[in-house]
Amino acid sequence: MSASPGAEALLAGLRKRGFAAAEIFEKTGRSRRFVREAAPEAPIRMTQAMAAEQGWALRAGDRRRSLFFAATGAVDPGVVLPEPSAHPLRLPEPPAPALMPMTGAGEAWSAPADFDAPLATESVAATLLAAIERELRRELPASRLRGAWLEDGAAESSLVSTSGLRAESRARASFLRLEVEDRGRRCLFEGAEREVRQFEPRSLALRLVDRLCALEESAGGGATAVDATLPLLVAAPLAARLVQAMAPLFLGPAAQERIAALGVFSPELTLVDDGRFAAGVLAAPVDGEGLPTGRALLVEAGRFVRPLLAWWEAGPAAVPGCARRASWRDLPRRAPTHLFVEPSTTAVVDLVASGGAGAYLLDAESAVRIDPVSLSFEVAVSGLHLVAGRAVSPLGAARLCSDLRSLLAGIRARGRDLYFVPGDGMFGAPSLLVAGLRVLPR
Amino acid sequence: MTWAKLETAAVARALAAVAAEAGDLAEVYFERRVDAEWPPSEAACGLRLRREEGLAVRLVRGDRGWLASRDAIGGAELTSALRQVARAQPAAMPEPELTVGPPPAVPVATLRGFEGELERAIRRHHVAFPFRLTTRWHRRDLQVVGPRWVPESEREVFYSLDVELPWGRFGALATTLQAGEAERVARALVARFRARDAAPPPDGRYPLLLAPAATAVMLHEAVGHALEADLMEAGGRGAQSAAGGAATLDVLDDPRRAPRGVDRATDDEGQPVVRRWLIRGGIVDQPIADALHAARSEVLLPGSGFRGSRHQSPLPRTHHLELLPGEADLPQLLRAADGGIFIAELDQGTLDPQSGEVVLYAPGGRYIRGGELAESCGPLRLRSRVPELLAAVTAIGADPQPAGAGWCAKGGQRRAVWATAPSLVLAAMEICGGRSGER
Repeated sequence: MSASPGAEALLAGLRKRGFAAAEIFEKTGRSRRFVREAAPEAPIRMTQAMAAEQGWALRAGDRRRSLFFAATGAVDPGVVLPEPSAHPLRLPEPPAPALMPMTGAGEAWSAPADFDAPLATESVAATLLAAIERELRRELPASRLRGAWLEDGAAESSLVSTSGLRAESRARASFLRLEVEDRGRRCLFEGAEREVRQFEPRSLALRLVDRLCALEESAGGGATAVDATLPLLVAAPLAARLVQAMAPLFLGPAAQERIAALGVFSPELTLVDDGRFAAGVLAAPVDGEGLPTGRALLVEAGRFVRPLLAWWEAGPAAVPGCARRASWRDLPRRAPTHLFVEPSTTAVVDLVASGGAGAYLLDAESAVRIDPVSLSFEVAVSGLHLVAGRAVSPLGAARLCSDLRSLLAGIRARGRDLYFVPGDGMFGAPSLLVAGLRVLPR
Repeated sequence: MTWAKLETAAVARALAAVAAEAGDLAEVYFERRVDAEWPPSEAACGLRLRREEGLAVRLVRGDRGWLASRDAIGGAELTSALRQVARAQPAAMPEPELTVGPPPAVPVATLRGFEGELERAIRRHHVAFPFRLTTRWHRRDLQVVGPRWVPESEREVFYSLDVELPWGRFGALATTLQAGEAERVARALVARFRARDAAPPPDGRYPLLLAPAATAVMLHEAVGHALEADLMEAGGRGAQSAAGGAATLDVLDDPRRAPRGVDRATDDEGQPVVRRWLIRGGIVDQPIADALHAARSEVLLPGSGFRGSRHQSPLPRTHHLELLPGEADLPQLLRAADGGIFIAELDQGTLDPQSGEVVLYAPGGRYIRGGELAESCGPLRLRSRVPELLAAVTAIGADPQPAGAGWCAKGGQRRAVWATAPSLVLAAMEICGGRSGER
């Protein structure tokens, strides 16, 4: 999608109206949402929502005044704007080509083939959800899919500005949320892929079955504690949720001070944010301000390199674009795109076999609750007791308790199974062998 | 004029052609929103104005439903949305004439001036501290058209405030921004300033005296959400839980009696709102329902179907909760909560509809000793279950106050919700001191 004639005309008109700096962003999108509800003693209900969205936004002003205006529909070159307020405006300049190789941001980018996949139809959605439930029941006959939410969307956007930035971008994403139950035990799954067909019913169902079984109380009733002296094997989905929880520590200029207070990180920790991560759901050539995206190394082998900064925070340094527009209604803000712990080449099975872990924690069963002052955290988890690398019993209702300092310092080994979870961005990690964490009964 | 021309009769006819089977539930929803935002003085961009308009067509047939939405209001958009929910290409469908009027005037001067008013109000308390204020004005006009009915157009107009302080955030909703509102916000900010270094209370059981604004948030979570038909149907324990409430508790949901500017005669499905007794004498009376749940029930009444935007389906939701006042005056309330904590506001609340667990977060409070307010305490968290929480009400004040209960994000649909509530006293409640958030 290139800038519309209306946008070009309005941009030219804004100069004539006395705005020294201006930017126009346009976006169109289509989405389909399928909601499946299965209340007890009620028939399964399916709702399909089909949205066609179109909107645009402008920022205009100079060093003394500015305004933001956004509206549905196509750009109106004759739009009547309110008086700008006395807030200075700064818009990004096109990056100097000489700086771009430093971040990899200048490399050519072509949209992945699955960007062209058609949106899911009602039958595709119904087939996927029925297959998940069938696989679930094959393993656990008493289980059921309580609810499901599947959203599939595609969007195109363009941006033009008086500073010479011209950018086009596309996006394609599917989001799946499943609520499953088996004899009173419940699990929630949330995942994102580029398109619906990438969700694999069998593997999704097996993961949920593992979690449901791991939540089963032991014969004596109640969860049992894990030997605190042993490291824990944190599976990739749970590790990714922990990355999501600690992400704010690494964002913005104040991160330097926060990170310094955390002490020494494990040399096994390398943390990256990459806006054009090839397999990523949010991969795009440019960010929400039209700046090239790229890879930002935040922590390298335990050494803090830099926080995630936007251009207006980084000064003249070459930084990949990391400004996100949640929609055409929103102003850009600094946000991670694919923030993840770098994986290694070790198979998870080897971590299980040789790591000496006391437990294998499969997934988060609640949101991660963090005390922002002490940075202690707590999260309900599902998992298995390990003895000599073999799973011997479910943990039952358990919680993982620790603080971010111990987590970041305690990583002993990483797997190769990088996995992402959706949040305010995508957050990823491989399975991690971590010492210094505690698992307690819930 | 919001709608320059909406040929509602033609829209109804076109909809009736789609909703042709007995028992079909269908409506066309036209929406126009304007949101204006005055950012803090050091923000990177100035006045923010958002205008949007669009429509949605919904059809529910048996256990299946379809919603098609567009970001424009016009005959072509309506026709394409109707075809999409009908899942057919019917013969030529005439395009009704649909035109919106000129955009409404935005009260920019009020938005711009409120920061100064707030600063002056804070100074009158003989304190000064840094804060970042964002002031917003919201207007939403909507017109629902059913196959056989066309209710009046509805409008909601209100302001919202978001204040960032070095020691936390404060948010408020208001239907006007006059001097009284500045003083109300200033009092809340000054209280937070004075309590900024206060230690959280030790974990334990305390009687709690909730001011009207805090009561509003508690009611929204423990009564409003607990008695929403969809959450009850999904296996929630709200109804059973609330039935164990205090016999003195009378809670209603009445959108018609919401503060002027956000009062409603019909809901977002075009159904007339009802004065709904949620809890009468401590017993659950009439849960909150939308047209969909009411159609499947012999006892539920529609009139509480609200949606975040045209792109979302209506859900059963509270709009304006009322807790009928008791007779206790402030000294009596303080005596009833002696040895406990006074909580002026709650930052946030959540309800787990499955377990009935309610968690309420307070930015701070003041100890109550000898029937008087004493020193401040820091943040605290109250965790309870709906039946215990409602059964713990031991006194209700005679001081009902209308207020915004806050922003509710049920099902990812953000809506301002309102309440009129007095102070109340909760008998010994288990609390945890300290701040913690979920990420």
